[in-house]
Amino acid sequence: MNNRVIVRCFALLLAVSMPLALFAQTGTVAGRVTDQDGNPLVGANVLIVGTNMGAATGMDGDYSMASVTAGDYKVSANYIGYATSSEQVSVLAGSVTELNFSLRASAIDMNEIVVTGTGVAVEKAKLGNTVGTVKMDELAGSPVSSVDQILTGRIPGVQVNLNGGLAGEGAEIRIRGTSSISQSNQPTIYVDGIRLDNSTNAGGMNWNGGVPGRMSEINPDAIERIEVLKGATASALYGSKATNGIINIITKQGAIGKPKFSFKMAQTTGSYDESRYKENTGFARTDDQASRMKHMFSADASSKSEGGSYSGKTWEIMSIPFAGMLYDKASGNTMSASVEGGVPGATYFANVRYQTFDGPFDNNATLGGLPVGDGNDADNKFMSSATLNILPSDNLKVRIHTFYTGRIQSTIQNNNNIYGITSLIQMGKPEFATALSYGDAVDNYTGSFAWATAREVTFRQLNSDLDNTLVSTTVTYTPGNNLTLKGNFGLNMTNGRGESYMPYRWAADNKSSYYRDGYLSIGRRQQKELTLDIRASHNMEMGNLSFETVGGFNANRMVRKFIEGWGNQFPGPGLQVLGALNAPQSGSSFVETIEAGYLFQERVGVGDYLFATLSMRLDATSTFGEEFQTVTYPRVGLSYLLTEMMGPLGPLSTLRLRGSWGQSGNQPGAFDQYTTYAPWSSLEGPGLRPGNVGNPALGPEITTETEVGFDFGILNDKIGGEFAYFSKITTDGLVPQSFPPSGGFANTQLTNIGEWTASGWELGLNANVVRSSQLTVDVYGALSYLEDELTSLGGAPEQKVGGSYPRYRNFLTKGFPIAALFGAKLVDTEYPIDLNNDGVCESKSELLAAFTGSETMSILSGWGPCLDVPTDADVTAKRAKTAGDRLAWYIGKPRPDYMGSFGANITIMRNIQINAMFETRFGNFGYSNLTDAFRKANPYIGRNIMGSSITERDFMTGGVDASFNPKYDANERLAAAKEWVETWQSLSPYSGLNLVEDGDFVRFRELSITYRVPSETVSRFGLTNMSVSFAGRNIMLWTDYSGIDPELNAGSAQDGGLNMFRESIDAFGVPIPRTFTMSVNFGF
Amino acid sequence: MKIGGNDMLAKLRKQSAFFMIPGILVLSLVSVGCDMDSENPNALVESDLGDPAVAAAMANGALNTTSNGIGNMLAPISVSSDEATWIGSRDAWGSLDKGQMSDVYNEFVDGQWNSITEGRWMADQAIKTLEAFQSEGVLGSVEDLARVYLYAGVVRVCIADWFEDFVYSDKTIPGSPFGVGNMMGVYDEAIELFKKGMSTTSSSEMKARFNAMLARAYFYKQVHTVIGNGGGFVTDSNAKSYAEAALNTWDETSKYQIEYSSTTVGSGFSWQINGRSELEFGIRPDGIGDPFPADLVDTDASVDVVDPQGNALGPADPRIAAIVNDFFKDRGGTDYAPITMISGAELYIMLAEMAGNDADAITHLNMNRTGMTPYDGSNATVADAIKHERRVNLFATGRRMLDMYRFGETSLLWETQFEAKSSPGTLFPITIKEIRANPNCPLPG
Repeated sequence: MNNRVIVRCFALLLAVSMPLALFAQTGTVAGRVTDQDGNPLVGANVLIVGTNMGAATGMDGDYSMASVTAGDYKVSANYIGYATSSEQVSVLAGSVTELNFSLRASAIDMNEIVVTGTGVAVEKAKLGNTVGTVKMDELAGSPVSSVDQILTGRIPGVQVNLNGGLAGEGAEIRIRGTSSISQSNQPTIYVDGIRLDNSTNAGGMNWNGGVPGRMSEINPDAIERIEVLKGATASALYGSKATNGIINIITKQGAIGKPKFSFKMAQTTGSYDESRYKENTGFARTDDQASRMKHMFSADASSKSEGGSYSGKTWEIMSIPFAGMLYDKASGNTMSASVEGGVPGATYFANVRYQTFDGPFDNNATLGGLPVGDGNDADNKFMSSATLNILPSDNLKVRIHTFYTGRIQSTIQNNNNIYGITSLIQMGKPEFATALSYGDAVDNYTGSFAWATAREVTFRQLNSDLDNTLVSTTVTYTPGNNLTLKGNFGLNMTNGRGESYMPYRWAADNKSSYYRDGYLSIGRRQQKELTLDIRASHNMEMGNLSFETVGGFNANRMVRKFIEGWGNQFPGPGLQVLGALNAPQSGSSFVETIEAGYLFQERVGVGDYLFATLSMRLDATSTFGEEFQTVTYPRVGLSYLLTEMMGPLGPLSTLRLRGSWGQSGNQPGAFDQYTTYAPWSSLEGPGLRPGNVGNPALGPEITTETEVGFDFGILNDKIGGEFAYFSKITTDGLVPQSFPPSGGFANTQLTNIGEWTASGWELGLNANVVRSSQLTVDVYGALSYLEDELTSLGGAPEQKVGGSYPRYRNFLTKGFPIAALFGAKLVDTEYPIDLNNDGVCESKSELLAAFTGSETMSILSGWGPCLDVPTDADVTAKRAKTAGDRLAWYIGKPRPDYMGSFGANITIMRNIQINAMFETRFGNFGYSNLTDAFRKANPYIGRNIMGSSITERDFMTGGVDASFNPKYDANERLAAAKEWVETWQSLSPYSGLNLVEDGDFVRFRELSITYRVPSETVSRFGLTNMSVSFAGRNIMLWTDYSGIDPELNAGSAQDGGLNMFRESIDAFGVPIPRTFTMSVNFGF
Repeated sequence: MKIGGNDMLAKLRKQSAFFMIPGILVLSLVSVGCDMDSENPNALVESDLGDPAVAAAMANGALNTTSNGIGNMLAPISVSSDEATWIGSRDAWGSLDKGQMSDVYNEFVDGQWNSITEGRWMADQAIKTLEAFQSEGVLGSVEDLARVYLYAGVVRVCIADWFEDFVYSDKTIPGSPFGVGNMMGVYDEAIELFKKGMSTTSSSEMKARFNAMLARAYFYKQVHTVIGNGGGFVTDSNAKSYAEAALNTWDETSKYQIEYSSTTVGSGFSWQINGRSELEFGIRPDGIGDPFPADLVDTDASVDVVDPQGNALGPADPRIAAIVNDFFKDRGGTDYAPITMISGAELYIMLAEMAGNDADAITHLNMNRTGMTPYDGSNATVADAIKHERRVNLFATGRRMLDMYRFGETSLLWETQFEAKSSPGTLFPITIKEIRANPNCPLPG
């Protein structure tokens, strides 16, 4: 869309709005905003409270708001790092009212207005609970392009877990840990009070690739701020879908004034840290194999031997960096254009944004000289957003908002997936490499043992075509007498078309026999979220007391439809439609949920220092069983501003104590209440199979949370912060209860029998370190602590994440952290080796006898690790979960005790701004390095990292001499066997052994350097502002974790179910890429 | 006061807003608040099963679930024997290759537990439902009931063939394990079901299937007895008479197979070999440096068994290759090879084993050697010929493990520390999923 079209669109909006402005008698408010030393503040916001009028200061700190209807107003000015200041003014028709502000540097701002979960807009100071906020104008120049990136590291207690590093991969968000062990833990997301599709798997299909999430489809350029409710103390008014927390995105509205056009152009590049990949190693067992390996790799400059260059001898270990052959630089472009403005009676804001990103996977790469296929890693988005506020009269406001995002995403196969490019390339063993040029039947340069060659799977494609649309209308009517009526109605509709495609004869190297003639699956997922919210509020003051009453009704209806077609065998090349398949099949499903509730809230204030809030919501949903009717969620809160009442308390310039208690709910799945039999087509006709056991008493799980805390300012608020301690318990928890599979119903059934707890604290600190006309330095830090425990499963059996798959070691077990890790542990002895699987470790002499022989021996052939078996005492001490179960040792938890971020905002010479942010997670952070577990231990697709290869070779040969001749030395074998079980052996039947590592890390998450071009310069070009930014994201990683990246989560996006606990598992994902962006912003 | 112009417009605006918001409130209460039900079009609910119209669907469900369970379990039992070998990433197959039969955590035995138990329950539930319809006189076709008896019996025979212990539960009510010494009762249940089916059906083909499966059930019940007594051959008069009865209708080419297709049920075994390529037929001795066994022909297929009689086609018996070719045959995909439950060929080999004299045994065995050099007692003993015929004719049907046990054969990959070698006769245990969910099933050891 070119600029002319944009201008025409907004000219039309103006034309609609202009007649409403013709009745007004107006004046102008203008002035300057400075700090207390008289230095102008650039970019400060000045607002006329209660109107849509506002302005930002320019390079000299000046602002001007014209066309202000004559009358008395409260005008406020705010700026990052300064306390908000308000003044009363009288605007006279036809005149200019001068109003200057001198803002006091302040590290806290308790006058900030929030709207989420509060009934009506209210200052933070009046709330008993915390509301996390991120203001977009504080992120100018920051390398953020999605909501999850905006939230990362910015709100204590909010954890953003990336699914992986592929282009467009979504993220899951956890607020104050785990809320449910069966339902989605993703917060409910609203835009201006309208609920959005918050699914983390936008296409609705499990792609085995980079799954796109819906959160990254919200246009960041249309966001004014984001408010986050962290738990039941804050979210009670949201009812049965509030336990996970609420993210409410407030969009820009525009302000009265001349049209202001803003443009942004950005160029991004990026790459993976390829040093995180371990090189592929291997060795020849026979002379024939050595000859082939020499042919394959001796000419490849990237290959090397343990002794220098690879000479191609039997038992000589070589290494080669296969993974690096597939990656290059990422590239991306962003173009964004906005316009905002308004006249008395109407304001508007609109933006269009086009964003492309082609990830580091190089689809022009070659493997062994042969080109890779058409699979790619790219994410392209078109976003548009528009808001129109119409004020037909002084007491009526109509707001219409809409956004649309269209998105095309492609991803390569990866993760824990036998057809993953990243998995096959890392599973490659040089000794299995073959080549047609050597007389082999298959070109298999990277030595894939099974399934397919790494090059073949690059021909597979995963494509998503996604749409996300929101239309909402808000009507606010203020008939007088302090009464406000507000209706908010909106529809969010998402469409996702996912495609998994294997072209005709995709197995280009002639190795894979799987669907050689092609395969195609196309799924379409549509979801509609309908929101209706009506509420009335009333304010009243009686002497020193103030009363604020809110009552209302809220309803949501969600309908999700899914349809899929699939099949295989194309008749020839080039076909990519279902109709071209041999006997394509289809399936569909339908889900509907309806929720409705009444809400009531009363807030009582005593002066400006004490506020008490009582809230209540009565809720019913279609997901409750027949035997369950309605539920009530109460909330109380208290806020006490000591310094407001008593003045400064020593060095404490500000002190507020607060506390709150509340409940919110989490509803079961749409049809979990029913006993069902699922259709299943048979050769004899339609058939049935057991589905759900059913539970007519099914109700919501209830989370009760208590939060206490304080906000403080020291040294005239130059240092400020907030602290919150919370404790929550979920009762009637929805447990996915297993019944004996031998009863026919293998599916788990949700039952309200569980209980789990979580507690922790959150601390946020800000400090104005330097304030001068030439330099300002603000530093900040946030730290949060979290612990949780699954206190009861109501007698139901424990659940294992991943079902029978033994490599995921996360369990839901009573008495342990949620998704705790359990597995095998060696007996604590010098040689934990067992020769006869009797659980008793053999002596050194017995082992030497077994390992004596002048022939090669194989790893684990007739011996294995000697595993310790837990006793009752171990269970009592919580070192293990089950006595007698050798895989029951507690080996860690997947969530860190602590999360934190810290950084600084520095302004130099008023026009150079530097922002830096680091993020850290640490403390009892168990990360499952499944990638290396395979690569260390598996005989066919692993044992291909240097230490593992050396140990295997040394055991097989009893060590080698300088010419790689076997020594058949039993002592060397014994040493190798010891190292094998203590370091390299992993996977089943020794699941959990040598798997979990310390996942602590510090990441240099963001850096941005912005130069604002002086106004006198930009004005020569007819511009009002211009800036140039250089920004980096995920720039550095410091960690002792030895795998790919301690931020990968194997399961990708999961919206509920046990598999959502496949967290902190590194299983053949790609690293989070580091990206660098150069951008130019200008406006007129 | 006169009202007009802009004042009128303003008043109308106010009035419309005044009425609009309460109007929306009323509309919302009517449209949303009063109807909190959400229909589920995805599945039937329990009460729907009382409708006689679902009888065929219940029977078909029994077919699918039993087929699914058997197709899934065939993979671990085949890998445990020398019929298939692990070549992929998931090492629990490797444990089975080594003969580690008793590991309750083995992901593939544990994973398939759900499907074989679902098949057993669904078949029994279908019997219960259809028998009730029959007693009420509303059952549309008794043949539906007859085939449910067949499915319920077949899945029991497979359970008894492959499991050391088993348990039946009913929905949420946990059952108690039978106990290792009581698994023969499962064959007895199968026999009862086949007899009921025989008396229910009027189809000659179904009667032949019931006769054949009765022969198999009686025969394999004796196989366990033989293994418990040190191994050897089976003699059982019931097995013999039912085999002969079946062969009154069938010939050596007749088969009762479970069919799979892309639109119905896929075979887990077929998927692991054809689709995922996690397993391959035969064993892979060359990968670990062990010598190649004398009874195999060293080919890429590694399943070519030497024909002890010898034939003009070369040293390898062509019948395994034929089974393998049929297994790989394209059926609209790669995961849908059928599984033979019982065949005329197997019945002839059973009769040979139970013949009581070499001449009759050779006659029976040669029924399966059309186009090949017949046995004449010169190159192979009758005992060796029976073992060989079983190996090549029953390939990929899940029979091999019990034969290896009773004939004292071992896989090249079995290791001495694991049960297949250290305690021949050991079959699969009740697995960890059941143990965790069923308070009557303790963790072994």
